[in-house]
Amino acid sequence: MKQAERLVVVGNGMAALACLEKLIEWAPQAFAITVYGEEPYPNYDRVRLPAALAEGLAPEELILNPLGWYRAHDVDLRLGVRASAIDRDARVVEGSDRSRTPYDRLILATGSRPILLPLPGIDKDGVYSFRTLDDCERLRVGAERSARAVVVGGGLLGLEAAAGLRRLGLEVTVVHLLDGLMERQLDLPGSRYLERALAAQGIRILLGRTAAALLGNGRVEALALADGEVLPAELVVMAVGIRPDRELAQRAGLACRRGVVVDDRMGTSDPRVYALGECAEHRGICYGMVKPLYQQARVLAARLAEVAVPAYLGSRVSSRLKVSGIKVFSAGQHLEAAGDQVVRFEDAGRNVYKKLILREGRLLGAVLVGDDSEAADLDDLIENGQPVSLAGPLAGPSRAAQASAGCSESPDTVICGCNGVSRRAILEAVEAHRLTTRADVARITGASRACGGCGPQVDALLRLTVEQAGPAGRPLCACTHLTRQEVLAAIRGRRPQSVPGVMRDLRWSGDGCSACRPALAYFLTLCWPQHPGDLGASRHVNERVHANIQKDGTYSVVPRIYGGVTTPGALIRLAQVAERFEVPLLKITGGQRLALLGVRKRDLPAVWAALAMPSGFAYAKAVRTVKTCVGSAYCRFGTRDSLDLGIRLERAFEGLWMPAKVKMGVAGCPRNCAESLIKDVGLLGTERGWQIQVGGNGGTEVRQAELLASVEGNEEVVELVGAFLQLYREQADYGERTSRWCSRLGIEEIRRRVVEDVSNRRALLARLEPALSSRVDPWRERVQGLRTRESGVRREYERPPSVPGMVDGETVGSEAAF
Amino acid sequence: MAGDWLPAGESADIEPRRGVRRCVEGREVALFRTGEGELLVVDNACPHRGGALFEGLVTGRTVVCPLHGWGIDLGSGRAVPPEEGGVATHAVREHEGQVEVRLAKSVKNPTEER
Repeated sequence: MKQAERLVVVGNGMAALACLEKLIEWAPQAFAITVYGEEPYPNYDRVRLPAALAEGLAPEELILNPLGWYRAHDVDLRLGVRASAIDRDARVVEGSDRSRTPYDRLILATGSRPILLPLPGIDKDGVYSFRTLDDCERLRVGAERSARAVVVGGGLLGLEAAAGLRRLGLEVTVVHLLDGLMERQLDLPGSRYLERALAAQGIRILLGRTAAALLGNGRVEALALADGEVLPAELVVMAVGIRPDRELAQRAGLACRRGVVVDDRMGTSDPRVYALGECAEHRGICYGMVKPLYQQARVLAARLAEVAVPAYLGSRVSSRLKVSGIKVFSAGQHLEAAGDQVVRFEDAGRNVYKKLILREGRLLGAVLVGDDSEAADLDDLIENGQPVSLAGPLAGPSRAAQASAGCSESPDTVICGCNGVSRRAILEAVEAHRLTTRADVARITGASRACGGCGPQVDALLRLTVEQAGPAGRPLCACTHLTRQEVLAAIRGRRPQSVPGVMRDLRWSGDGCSACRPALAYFLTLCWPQHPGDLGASRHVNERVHANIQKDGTYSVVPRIYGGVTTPGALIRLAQVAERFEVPLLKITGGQRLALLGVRKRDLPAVWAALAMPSGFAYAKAVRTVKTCVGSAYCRFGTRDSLDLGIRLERAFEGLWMPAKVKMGVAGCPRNCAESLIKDVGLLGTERGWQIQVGGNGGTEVRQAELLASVEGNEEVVELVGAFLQLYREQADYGERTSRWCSRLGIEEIRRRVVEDVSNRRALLARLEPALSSRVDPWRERVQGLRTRESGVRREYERPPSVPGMVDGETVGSEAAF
Repeated sequence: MAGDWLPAGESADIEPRRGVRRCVEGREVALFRTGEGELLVVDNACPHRGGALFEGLVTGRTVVCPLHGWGIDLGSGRAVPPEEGGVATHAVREHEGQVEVRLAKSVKNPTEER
């Protein structure tokens, strides 16, 4: 048997590991592998660093190959060790730890380094590059003690960093040398549209300006421009570009130009040494995108494993700006030459710009800003070089839209450009492994594993399979073979029913369980809001009694205090009730309300009657609190009237049954004192209007909300929040908080249905209306029920009847419970 | 051997899939009516943390404690696995619209009685 050759890899990034994964798959025992990794982490997803900054992901969430992977494949990983020299005669790599590792074959995957402009003051504290996970952590820490940031560089990375910092609440200015943003991907009109979209997120753009010096005493305090303007900032990010890291190769005497020169099979000028990734220069081009790196990795792995694959002839690159809420896609050529045919589409109202460049009947390039739904189709057309007609690409429904409608005819459409995964491959994997989440699909097929740009399409395919699968989809629970959608459709398609009636009609097995019975009760309120019926026996005690049961069997009473704003009269009444009923604990809750804790069940109706305040629904899967800051009413920083909007939202949606509890927050300025970014629905006031953030959670699994839309007026806020809540009511699993639901469905999809698709929004609001108009205050309803001696209410709240021979219910030890 | 049948309120007060609480000879019991109309009686204290079982959701012959979701089999009094322990069960009958209960002698945990 052939002895394993010694393979040393310098570099532990995405290109190196993509190559090793393939190599190990194709030739498992052929090499004894050593990897030098300068950074202290195993291979992670560098493409998602900006997202990680914005969303506050922990480093481990970006890891692509955990340490266990290296161990499992006997890869000797030298973490935190830089390869300092190559002795090509002795065939040895020297490490910064003075180790010497002999090789038979050597792969250079050293990546690239950020370009640092030689500006005065560049070494001051608070000046960062944005290239590594450590950079990301430093930036995040720096952002915490900063209010203003300047990003130098208006390319992909600079804009993604700017958006991340903006989402962390900083005032952000981008300074760019040229007259247009992303000049390697966009033309000037495209840049103008992108500038507007960024401005709407509150990012300031300065074009045609040159950074001259960093000012400050040790720490950076401002960036000075060449024209004399001074931009105050506690944090400066340098994102002017990257440079292939060829230093090691150059010192070893390998042929280098801008990068390490490689042939079509990734070989360098030394037959035992290969290079790939950002450090390599192939046919005069150094690539900085993940897709070409993966293509190179495959070619090199095939060469080492002695597997036949076509040589690498270069990549056609497409790029996407990965900024939440802004869609920018560019593929092929972005600037037309004389004689090219150009098709342009502009919609200033929706801020959408599209440009196609055709030459001799073939698509050569595409630029999309504001709407990238045709990106996958156009990418395909450019890649394949098929003849296209002008009526084609911009007219008619896109293939992506067809895919979500379930009628795509091309299973070979590549969904994940980074990893080259087709629609067919995803659908087959979903079928074979019964996959239900994007993460599962990423694990099995690789799709969406790198840049995540195709995540929404993967989600759409998952939905498609689940929806088409019908009974093969996940049943609601073990009591039925029907899925949630089927149960809902059946309830909607029949007349109003009781929960036992639904179970009978739908051939439930047995009497239901504690999972499906409350879910059915909720579905009935969702489908038939005007026919409430008696759902008590299928509701959790809290929603039946309209108070929250406590550990000792007493209940809590939390009246609604709209927006946290109260009056002397209301406080006096609360105090009197607390005294009169000897309420043991009176507490201000985290939701800016007052809770009366330890109320006996039989006292509840009298307490409610005496308070004469609406229920705060603190016990229910429903809209609970709307937390507010003081806002422009009194706060010296407040830019918006958060009290007014908070109260308005609370009045608009109080008492609405939901799949799970819903908490809102309204902050009048980006200082975010109402903690809007960890609320199910959070509003942030800006100079121009409101940002609507959704899907946040401050509970056991903390999650930062994502931007749904930026709007100007309160009317639009109420409308979009209403449509969002209705979509959530209709689509989420029972008990599923908005945070999980939003991650599952994807913010882009939610935005499409709530914000962009106006007719769908109207339909959602129309279905919400009957639920809003049939709300009654449950406390008042029960107080009145007792007055009219209604038997159900009496049975629920009155003390147990005194029976001859039976001791009355006032037993020592459980007094409180009665 | 058996104790006396003791009055425990009116039949009509116990609706299907609901529970009520009664105090019978100083002992607090929870009376349930299943969806099929059967009456079942157990002590009104969950073996976990003493939660008031009568407020729980009734599914088949099981009640789910409102505090932490333990299931209690109302026929045997045993907690539904994986939970352990149980509550005492009591005999019950209905006669001319009245409910009568005969208390179990033992207060012991039924899982120890095997």
